[in-house]
Amino acid sequence: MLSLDLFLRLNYLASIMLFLIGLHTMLTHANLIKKVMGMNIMETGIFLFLVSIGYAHGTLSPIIRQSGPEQGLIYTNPLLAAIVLTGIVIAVSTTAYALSIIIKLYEQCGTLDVDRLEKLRS
Amino acid sequence: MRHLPALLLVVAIAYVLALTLTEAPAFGGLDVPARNEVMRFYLDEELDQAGIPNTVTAIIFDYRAYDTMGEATVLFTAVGAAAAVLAGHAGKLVARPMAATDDVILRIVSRMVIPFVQVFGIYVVVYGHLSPGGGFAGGTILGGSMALYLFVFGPKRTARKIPPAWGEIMEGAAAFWYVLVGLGGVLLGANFLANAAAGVPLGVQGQLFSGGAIWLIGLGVGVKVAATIVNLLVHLAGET
Repeated sequence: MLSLDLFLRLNYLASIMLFLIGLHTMLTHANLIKKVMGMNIMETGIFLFLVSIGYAHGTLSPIIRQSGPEQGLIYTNPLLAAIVLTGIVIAVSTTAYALSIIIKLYEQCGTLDVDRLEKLRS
Repeated sequence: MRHLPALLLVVAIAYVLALTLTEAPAFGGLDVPARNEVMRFYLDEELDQAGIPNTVTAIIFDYRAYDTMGEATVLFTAVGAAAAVLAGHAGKLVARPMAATDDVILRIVSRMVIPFVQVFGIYVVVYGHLSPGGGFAGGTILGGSMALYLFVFGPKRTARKIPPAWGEIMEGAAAFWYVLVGLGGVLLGANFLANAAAGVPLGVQGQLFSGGAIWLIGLGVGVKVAATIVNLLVHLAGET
């Protein structure tokens, strides 16, 4: 029963796993670049979740073939694709900015280890 | 010792998410709550209102064009902030600047591949309203081809092929172009970024030059995203 349910929700399960892997990476690794990687994995999980909501079995991609409401063709949800596009743009922007700060930090401090950076401050 | 608290937090979040998983609708069904009247409105009305087959492009470049302008501004701000942070990073402690590769196979193969990648990127930008694609996807492909050049041939040769000033001018001009297209709607007596509502001719459905302002906006976004990726990578790769 439960295993069958999980099989029907495999995409959601995978997105949750990706989110948790990314969160764990962000929390446990001391290297700042690995933290950025963890953030990207979390974002990938969320994109997978959004795209999975939009998908339905046996539907066409949202390129409209005929005009009018009753056409007998069922399309995938286009809204989620648009939302994921926005999310990807934000992910690229935050990653680029974070990496540029990391480069500057490495030049100034010579390390990317969070623990050693904290010791440098005090 | 941050492993135990982190693990506990992850397990707690996993528990909450697993609870929602048991309530979630089955994947791929037609009864997902997201398939509501909003989706039906876009799928039913879009071809008549925006005049292009690709619904996703119609949503981002017509219905939500103002939101997409904000998105383009986010990219613009990210490049500007990265450039400001990295200003004058001559790299005392960075071991060495990114160098060109010595690999002959990599150089020759990338030289053969880059033109095809660029043609495909331009195709995806220009036909973004008729087939899957659009300004963001095509611009990323175009920027990716130039990123390949940067990685293989190094920042010095890239700066000779694509002068850094060009990238910055293209990016600013594309952002300005977007605003100009939006102001065109105001000049025609409708809202900012209005398309069919402002009386812009939509053209024949399925033709290359159709969809009115969507095609112009898509072109601008494609140029802008490509320039953004090149600028970001040039800044991150270091001084040339």
